[in-house]
Amino acid sequence: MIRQIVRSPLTVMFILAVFMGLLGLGAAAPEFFEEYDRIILTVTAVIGVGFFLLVMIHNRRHPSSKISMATWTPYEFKEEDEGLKWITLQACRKVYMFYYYAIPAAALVIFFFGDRRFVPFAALFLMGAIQYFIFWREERKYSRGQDVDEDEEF
Amino acid sequence: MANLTEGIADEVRINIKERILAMLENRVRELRARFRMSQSDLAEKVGITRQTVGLIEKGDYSPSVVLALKLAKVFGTTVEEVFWLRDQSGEKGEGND
Repeated sequence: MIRQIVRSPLTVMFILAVFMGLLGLGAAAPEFFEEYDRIILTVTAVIGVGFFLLVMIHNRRHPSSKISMATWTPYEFKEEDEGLKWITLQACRKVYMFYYYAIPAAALVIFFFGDRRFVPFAALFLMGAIQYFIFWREERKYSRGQDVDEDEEF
Repeated sequence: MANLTEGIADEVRINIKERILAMLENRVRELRARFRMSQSDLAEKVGITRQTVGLIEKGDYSPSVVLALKLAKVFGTTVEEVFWLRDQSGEKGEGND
């Protein structure tokens, strides 16, 4: 369960949604700004520590399949065998296609509305959230229906 | 000379057509049933994940030559007995005839 949470693209999507909510709150309530930096730092620290604790708990419970803390490979990448690598490749391809259009679009938005402090951050967080959604959707497309066969015996 | 050129062109056209239309079919599921194995059992024997067995059975993923050989070995048969090409007209192509 912990492994699924840590490795799911939806987890990162949720975290990005939290930050987008905070940005929205900051934009909607300017009086909130004085506390803003502290709140952002606190939320970041809570999420970071929570993530670290989850990995620690998982590694203690499952010493044979530890999640590495020191890796450059994103946790959502599944590369246990060639089939899973292929799924990851398909998902990365879709994400690349998304960024192919999203980056120029975001550049235009920032060019025209960048004078507002939160616009560049909102653009980044939104692109990140969409990236993880696309990755999750693509993974799910190829994994759909496989749980049914989990205990299938002939 | 003109006939030779036309012949080569025809062959190239056929090869391209085959490459576009050919689809990899397999009987992994059928063989797995015959050997009374679950997806997990087969995955363990071959050294892959259950998800990959599912992908291959559904025809979403065409396995590497190495994996195809390993699967055939588990079933005690040849690769051609497990995998073959089928064109879109539904006719069986190369292998397993």
